[in-house]
Amino acid sequence: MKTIAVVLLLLPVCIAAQEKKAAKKNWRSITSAGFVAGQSGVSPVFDLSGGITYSRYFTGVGCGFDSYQFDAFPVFADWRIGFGKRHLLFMYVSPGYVVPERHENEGEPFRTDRMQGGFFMDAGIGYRIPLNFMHRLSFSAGYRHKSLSHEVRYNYGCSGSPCVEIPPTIYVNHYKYGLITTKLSWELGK
Amino acid sequence: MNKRLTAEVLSFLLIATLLSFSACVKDSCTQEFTYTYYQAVYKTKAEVRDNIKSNAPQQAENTGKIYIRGNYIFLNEVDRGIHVINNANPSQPVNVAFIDIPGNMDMAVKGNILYADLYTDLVALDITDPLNVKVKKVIDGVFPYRYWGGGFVGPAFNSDLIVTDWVKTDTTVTLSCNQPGLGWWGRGGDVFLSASNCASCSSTGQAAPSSSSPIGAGGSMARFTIMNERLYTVSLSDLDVFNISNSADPQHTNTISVGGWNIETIYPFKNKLFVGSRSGMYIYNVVNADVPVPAGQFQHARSCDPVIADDNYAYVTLRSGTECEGFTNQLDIVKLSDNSDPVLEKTYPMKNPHGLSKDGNLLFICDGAAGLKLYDAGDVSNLQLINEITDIETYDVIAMNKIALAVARDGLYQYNYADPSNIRLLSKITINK
Repeated sequence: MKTIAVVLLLLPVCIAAQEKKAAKKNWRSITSAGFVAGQSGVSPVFDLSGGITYSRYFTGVGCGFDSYQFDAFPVFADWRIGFGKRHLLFMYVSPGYVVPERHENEGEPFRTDRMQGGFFMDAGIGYRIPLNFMHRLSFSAGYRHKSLSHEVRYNYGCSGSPCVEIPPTIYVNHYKYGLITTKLSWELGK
Repeated sequence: MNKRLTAEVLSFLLIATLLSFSACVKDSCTQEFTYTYYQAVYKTKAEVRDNIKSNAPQQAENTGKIYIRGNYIFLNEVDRGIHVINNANPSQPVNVAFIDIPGNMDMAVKGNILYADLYTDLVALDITDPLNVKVKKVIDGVFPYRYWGGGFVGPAFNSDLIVTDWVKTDTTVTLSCNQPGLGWWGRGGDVFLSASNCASCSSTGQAAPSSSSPIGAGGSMARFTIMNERLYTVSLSDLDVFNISNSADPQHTNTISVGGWNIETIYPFKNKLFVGSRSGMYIYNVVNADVPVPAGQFQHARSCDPVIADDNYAYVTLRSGTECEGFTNQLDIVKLSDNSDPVLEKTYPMKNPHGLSKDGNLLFICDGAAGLKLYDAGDVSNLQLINEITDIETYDVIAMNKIALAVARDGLYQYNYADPSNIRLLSKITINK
């Protein structure tokens, strides 16, 4: 898994070193909707990114929504590289951070909940279908990783009189999800 | 042909991508669980009794009942023993000794004899010289309602092993989220866990909340009291009588079922005993000292209930809180009558009142985090607040001879109230928490 990630990260650099032809920079936005599938089921995902295209490369930033197990909002860098004459086949890597949805108290007395975000990564390949000069549809499939943690703290205050502090009990659950993702995207821009 | 080939190649690539990552599709969850647990330290009964003497002074940490005798203050360290404090100079009290009594929750003093509980036993100590205390007598098993809480499986109280100390350990363990948690009941035996529910901390039938664990707390309000050559004690639902005509040789003479549960306090006044419970106050006539006779009761909402009395009225504080399971915070002044049940005279709202004390018309109330309050109770239907000390969290107070001893969260305070409108702090003995 680590090897794959390293290769994916270094690939754009290697290819860029071979580029000789000068190209124009253009803007592009990418709106995606799809599904993630994991051990616990299937959930919808939505991503939105924007950035700059330069020749076969795209560099941008994005955010999204992922409801697998916990509702979360990933924020990520978005790198893409196209292949072929028209750059229809592409590969993408989106490393970032998951911002979890705030977890409310479960209703138990003395209990407080806190969610903490973690590492996010989405990587895979896709294929574009140009509709016209400005619009494209693309299909992509890949692997998504999401990490976050959930802290539950039980504070009991004090016991009796005079007050004797009761030490809190703290549970921290660390979650890591490996998911397959498939998305349909609409690309707008040159 | 080329387009079809391209579509097939792309489909293959997409499927291959999905399949190549399938092995990485996994949900994983690990749990870090941070808690505090206590491991019991045991001694034999013989070792414990040999060590009931004036040992080196110790820092006060978890204080309970307070008793004044002459120039000395006897301050309970819940479940451990009694601090001996030389208070000859109230401005400079000196912690001079510690009497080790495991399981001690309460005490009372008559003359040179101090009576204290040691778990289920009653101990009579000669305190003629507080720096050289001696055991005079032990009566076994007279307080049967002590029990271990929080899942701790301890020795029977009549066994030869006695819990004398606890070793506290903070720890974090990592478990799979699917692994059954440690829980409060999954590790009994030798280990006591900091319980998730304070109610389960309680290990004594003597009026909750109190516990034999370091995280429990004893009452700062009386469960032992002395009147007419008798020691009266209250436990979960019983009133016990001990004949102490011969101070050094107490004799257990009677056990009376009070009829209610969760008895909390007992207060003596003029041949009457005022027994406070969570649901009401019970009055007993002790003209016949060995046979307390019910002489009235006063019901109130479920709450904790310290009580004192004077010639005409009983003063009852009710408070809410985890262990008290109530929601009322107030002072009830109840008119006493020889011929009928007490009648509520007036109610005063409070913040979170605890112990109280009265010297003449001056009424001291420990109002929890709201501090110590001093009222003129000359007209009970119109209490006048004379003074208040707001920067301490108080639980119990003894006011006599112009000196008020207040047990607070962070220490034992002594105040001179010769001028009630100008109370002066004399000293503070720090309590380390």
